[in-house]
Amino acid sequence: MKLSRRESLNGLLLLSPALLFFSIFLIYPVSLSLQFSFTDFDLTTGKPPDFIGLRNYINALKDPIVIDSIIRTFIFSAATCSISFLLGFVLAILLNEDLYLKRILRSISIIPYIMPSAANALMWLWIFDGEYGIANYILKTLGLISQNIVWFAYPPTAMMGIIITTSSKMTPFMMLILLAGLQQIPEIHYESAKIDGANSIQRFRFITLPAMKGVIGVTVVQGIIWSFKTFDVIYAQTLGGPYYSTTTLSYLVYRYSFDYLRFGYACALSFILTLLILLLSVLTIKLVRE
Amino acid sequence: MNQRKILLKIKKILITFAAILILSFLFFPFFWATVSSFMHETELFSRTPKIAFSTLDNYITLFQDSFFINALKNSAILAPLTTLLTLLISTFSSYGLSRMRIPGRGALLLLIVFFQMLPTLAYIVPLFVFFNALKLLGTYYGLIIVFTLLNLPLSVYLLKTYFDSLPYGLEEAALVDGASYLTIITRIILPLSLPGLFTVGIFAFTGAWNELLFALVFSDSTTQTLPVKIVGYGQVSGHTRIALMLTGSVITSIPPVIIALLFSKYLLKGLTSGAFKY
Repeated sequence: MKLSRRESLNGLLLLSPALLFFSIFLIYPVSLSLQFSFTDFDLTTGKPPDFIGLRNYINALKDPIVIDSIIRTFIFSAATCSISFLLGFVLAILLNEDLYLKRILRSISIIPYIMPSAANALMWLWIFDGEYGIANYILKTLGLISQNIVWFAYPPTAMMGIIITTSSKMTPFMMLILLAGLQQIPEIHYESAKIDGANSIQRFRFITLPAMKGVIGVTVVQGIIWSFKTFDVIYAQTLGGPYYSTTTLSYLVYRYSFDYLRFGYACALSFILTLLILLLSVLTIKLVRE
Repeated sequence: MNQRKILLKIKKILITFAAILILSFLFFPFFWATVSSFMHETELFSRTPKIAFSTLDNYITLFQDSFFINALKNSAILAPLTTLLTLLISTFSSYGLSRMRIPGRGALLLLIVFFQMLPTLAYIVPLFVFFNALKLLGTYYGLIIVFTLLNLPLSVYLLKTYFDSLPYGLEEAALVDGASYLTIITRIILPLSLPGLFTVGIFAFTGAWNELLFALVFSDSTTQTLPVKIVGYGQVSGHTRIALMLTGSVITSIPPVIIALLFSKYLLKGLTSGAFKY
């Protein structure tokens, strides 16, 4: 087929606002960022940036703070993704069954997802308050703890705090995508399996799971991207602390950018972050396809 | 037969109960913060949590804080303007992407998906330097531009998918009659695409309303938005601050919650079309 010249010209004309916008405010900055990452651009010294080659990248990979924050990001991501996925999948299956209030429950379940993550994080901050928080009260009443926990003062509990907070927003997101996937599976498949005598676990194993492979892959990839990009929750709840215990790679990039003003180093870190996200997404998609 | 019916009914009740149990965990923060925002300080800060709707004091204090009012005003201005600009840019480009045979269209689409997954932090530093040079930091213009930037990949993708689903016949007839693309878009496409535009608009609005990172770095004390303001309350210790932080969080959540309640259908359509926002 021959491209009509007039049509592609019109097409480009229509596209030009978006192309212009992306070029000026996204592509140009990303390329600048790549340039910065090869320099010692540092706002605190006030001297013009010098080209230093790959030194930022080499330093980053030798820096225990960076390595630890990458490991922490993986832990944070694995925990939030698995909690959200499991909880979301169970909820999706429940909401796909015959139940009361089906329509209301389905439509309100989008609310936690659409809430501002900063507000959600602050609300959890109050639940986990060390002195007056209801989390401690409930755990004490249940006899699970004897003394109040100051959640955001200790590394493991602070990590748990940001994981639970992020999961509470990611779960409904995953649930809604999974539910849409479940609704695509033709009812006939289940009926014929029932006639063949398959029990509900077998039906799940041999019909639901294979049919949902693609959707599951999409939700997991989205979860990974989401958790690797997480900033709001950490900024609102812990500022990366206590010490570095909740500083993920994303948050470390923010700190190097706007707390330490080491722009060159921060840009190098941000490309490591981008590469990790890309790599993990591609890997997950490959894994699901097999 | 009757026994089987009863069993099915029990199963239905159990499933409903289980679903409500999980949902109540997800809704608990909002519920608890709302309840807390109506309590006196003495009730709020007691060792045994109470449920009481006893006062509007926290709301009154908050609405007397001129900084909070200013943040509310900024959010209420920035979110709709971002929505408008997002809709304007994405309508034309999505139409182009959907209907024209543009060289490299596949690559363009892939690029848009890539923009969506790219972390904001990968370009925020140069954008900061760039905006500083253009004197856009701390201005409405700067914030509208960055919010639109964050919204665009999703919006273009969503609308393109929507336009793809519209029949081409009407436009062809109009083209034969010599109508221009502008006429076609405004007279034929837009009226047919209201649901799609609505979905994009809702996502753009909540996206701008909820955004924290750009709002934090690119604003100054006069252009601060609500999320930045409430996080500010959270970062200063003191009892009054906690009450304000909770009340502020509830108020900030109200517009997205109302949107979700009224338009969940549109949001779901957007979410399941393969374009995602977090």
